[in-house]
Amino acid sequence: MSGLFDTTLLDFRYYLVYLPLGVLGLVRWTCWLVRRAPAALYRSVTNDHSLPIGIVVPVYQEDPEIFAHAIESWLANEVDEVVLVIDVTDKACQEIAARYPVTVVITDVPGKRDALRKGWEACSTDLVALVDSDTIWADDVAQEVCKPFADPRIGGVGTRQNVYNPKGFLQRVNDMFLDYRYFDENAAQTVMGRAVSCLSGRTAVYRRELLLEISDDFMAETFWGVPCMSGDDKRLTTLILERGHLTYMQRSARVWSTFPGTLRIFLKQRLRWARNTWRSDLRALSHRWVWRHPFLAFTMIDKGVSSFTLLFSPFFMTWAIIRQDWFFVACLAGWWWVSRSMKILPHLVRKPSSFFLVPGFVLISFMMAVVKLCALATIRKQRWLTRQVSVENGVVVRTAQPAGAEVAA
Amino acid sequence: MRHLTRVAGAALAAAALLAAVAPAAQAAGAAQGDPDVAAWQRSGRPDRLMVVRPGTAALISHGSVVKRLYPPYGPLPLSWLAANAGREWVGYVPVKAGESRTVRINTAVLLTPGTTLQMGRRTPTVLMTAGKTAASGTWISGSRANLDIDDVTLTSAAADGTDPAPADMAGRPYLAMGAGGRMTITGTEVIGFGRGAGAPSRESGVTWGRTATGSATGSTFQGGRTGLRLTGSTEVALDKVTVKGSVQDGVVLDGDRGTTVRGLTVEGSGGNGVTVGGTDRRSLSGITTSDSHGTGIKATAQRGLTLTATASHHDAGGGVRLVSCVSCTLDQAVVDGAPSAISVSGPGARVTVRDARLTGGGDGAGVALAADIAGATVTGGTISGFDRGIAIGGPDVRVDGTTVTGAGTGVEVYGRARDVALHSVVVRGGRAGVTASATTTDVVLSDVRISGTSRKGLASASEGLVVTGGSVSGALTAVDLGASARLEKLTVSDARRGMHLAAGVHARGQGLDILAERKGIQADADAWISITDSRVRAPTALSGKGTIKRLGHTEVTLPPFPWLGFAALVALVLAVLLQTVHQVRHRRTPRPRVAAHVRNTA
Repeated sequence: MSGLFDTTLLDFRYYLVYLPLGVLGLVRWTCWLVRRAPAALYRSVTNDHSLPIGIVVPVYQEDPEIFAHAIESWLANEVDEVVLVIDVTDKACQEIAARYPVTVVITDVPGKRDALRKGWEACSTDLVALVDSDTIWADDVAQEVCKPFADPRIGGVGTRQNVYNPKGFLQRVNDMFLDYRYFDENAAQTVMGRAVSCLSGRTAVYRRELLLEISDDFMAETFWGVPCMSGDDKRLTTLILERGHLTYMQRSARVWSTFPGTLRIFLKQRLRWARNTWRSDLRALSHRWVWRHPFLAFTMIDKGVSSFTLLFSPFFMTWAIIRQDWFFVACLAGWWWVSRSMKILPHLVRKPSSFFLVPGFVLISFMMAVVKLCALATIRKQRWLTRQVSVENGVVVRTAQPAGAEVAA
Repeated sequence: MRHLTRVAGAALAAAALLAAVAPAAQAAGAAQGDPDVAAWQRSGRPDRLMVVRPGTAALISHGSVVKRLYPPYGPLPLSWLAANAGREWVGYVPVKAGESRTVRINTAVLLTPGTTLQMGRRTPTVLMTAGKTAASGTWISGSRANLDIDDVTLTSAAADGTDPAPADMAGRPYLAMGAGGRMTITGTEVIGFGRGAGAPSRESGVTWGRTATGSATGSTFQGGRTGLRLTGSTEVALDKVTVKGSVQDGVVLDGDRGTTVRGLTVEGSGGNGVTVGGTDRRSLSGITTSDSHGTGIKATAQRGLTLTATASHHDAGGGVRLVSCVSCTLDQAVVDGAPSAISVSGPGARVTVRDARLTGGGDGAGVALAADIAGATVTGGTISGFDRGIAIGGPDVRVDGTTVTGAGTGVEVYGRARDVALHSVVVRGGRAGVTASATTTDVVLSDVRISGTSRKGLASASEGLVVTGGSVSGALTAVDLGASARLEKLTVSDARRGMHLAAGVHARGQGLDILAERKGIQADADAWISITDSRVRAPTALSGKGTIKRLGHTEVTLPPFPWLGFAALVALVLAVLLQTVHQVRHRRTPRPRVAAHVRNTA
């Protein structure tokens, strides 16, 4: 019996050799565990706290059916008011809005930031939810997002997002990325200091008085002299944190939003987000306030570094393929599959079939690392990329007339 | 009267004798009388022969001079003959419109001493008639004469117009320059020359014979029986010459002296690309062969041959073959796509192979040194992709600084090999690194590095093997000994089994460093090994029924724990653990209430 135990022990030691975790991998895993451990202890706030809440929605070129579903979901939450700031050229959305008991503000200024400001200025409630026009709420979102505000230090609250009825590989992968974000990064940031780095613009709730206070700074954001057009959610979160308030991710408040299904738009969206993240994080790390939230600073640094280190793995894989070291190739590929599955366990528990998408998810992750590096190299560029607006000569302008605008005009 | 009778009898007898020998005497007399007819007889009695002499050209049909031409003194242009000899001998091929510039030669042409025949731009296309019999064919030959061919396309053509003539025709044309002659071929294409098998070698295509000289520059020789043949020639220069699709060997160098080669390309030969023989201390460089059915370059019975910067691509019979070559050097040879790259054989052969780059895909050897050679030295270079990188079957072999990658067996010492030394040899990948069979003796390995072999690193059944320095890593069994050996300062790592001694084997090790994943040293029954000042690290460091004697400061321990692998396992376990914590804490979380069209609510 002892001999069998010894042999088993030797075999165990022997096969450990084939787990291809390098020193760099060990560091990366350690960083992940540092995030994952507090994330596992996360709980949503539970209390009876309630405040009047209004919804502000910038609307531009939205899918009519989704837009109607979204309005209905907001109204089902019995919020105090819904303010839709609709672009003057978007007649279709204006017609849809006219069917519902909502306040419509027509704007002729292109760009999301100005629409948001017009919205919260038109709102009168204590809390203002800034919501994207394609975001559908669960029936209790308004009720859930109020709860963290029982703590007067909380300035903003985020929700948990998922992809609205995901179809196809890219939307499934996006759903995996979202779960990874809300079960790891945001959950950990909430637990470790109530400082979430970004309350996603799909639904973020703020105290209105704070929005009015930061309004001018929000509108005047520039990066290396160029006015910023996208990245409004990251900017709002940063301004709230900068002023000493806290941000919280209330995971019990669930919303669903549409995501691109084509690789081209997917990459453009990711490129835009990556630029926003680089700008915001690099600026934050150069200011003193972020160091009052050490865990937040750690996650910012960790995210930046991972853009570079993530590419080591495919480099080693390529090198092994060139050397025709198929054993190592098999070990590394197996390790990618298993280890990444472990990191997205919250999603796999929810959707076990995604296990078979993990190899694709890994490849997309490597692609994202490249996108992040491209974003860093083009950090000054200000284009929305998925909508026809951009910053030209310091001013947000339309780069093309939306379909039907000419007829309407 | 009696006297008169005797005189008459004698006269009659003389007349009878004269009548009996008359035909032979006529012919002999003719030959002695007409040197052109005599030349016809010496030239194999072709149906038609033109004998070119200074200031005259005799046209001989079936042994009779039918016409004499009187060209101007000096070099004789082919265009002059085409204009004056008559179309049944040499003439322009008629065309429907314009002036013909294609000449057809229907006769054999013999250039006598002091004559020069020129083919040039005025006759850019020359057809030489191929006959069904040797006598009906055409050729140009000469001795102490000159043949200058410049910027011409020279093609064999059958009587029915087939162009070039089929290779099996007995009367295909050829060019041959003999004693003291000069043949200069520049910017020319020669197509379909050389007579079929059984014909004398001088009729094989284009031949520089004994003491002939000249050159071939910027020219192509296509579809010949042998493309070019230099037999006993003197100082022939081959420069930017291409030989394609020869029926037999592409180029034959046999007994030639002072041949210089610069840019010789031989493609698709039916035999060997280049055959070298008969001359000592020759140097050849810049030869490229490809797609030969035989060997790229074959050298036989050479002494002091130096081949520099040769290249062989996809030659089916091998890249370079040296047979009975003494004191020969092969420098910077490149061979790829051949089943066997360099082979050395033959009694007394002693060869040096320097800085070769050999790439193969067949079941042969990169460098094969046969049992009957006297010795060989292989230095530098890279060998990859053969079944055996270096196969040593003969005695007195040194291999120094050569890298072998991806070969089935990196270095194989077998047969009658003895006194073999491998120094600073690197073997990467493949099944086995270095093997030595039981029939070999006096094999010494110093600083040999073997890595990444799938089965055995070093396998020896050679009595008295000596290994000094070097390393073996990444094999199932790093060192497998089937005979006595002495090992010093050898490093073994990443092997499943560090060292194995077969039953009854005795060995000594000093300064060994063995790191194995399973077993360090395994000695079978009756095997015996002493290890001095060594280190053996493995889960099972010492095993087997044999004797392993530890001397000096020998350390036997477990291998380093695979901490990174363990950390990976811990990380995975922690991930599952943290997920479990999360699941437990959120086990009562209800599904969200939301409109029915939202489906992703889990």
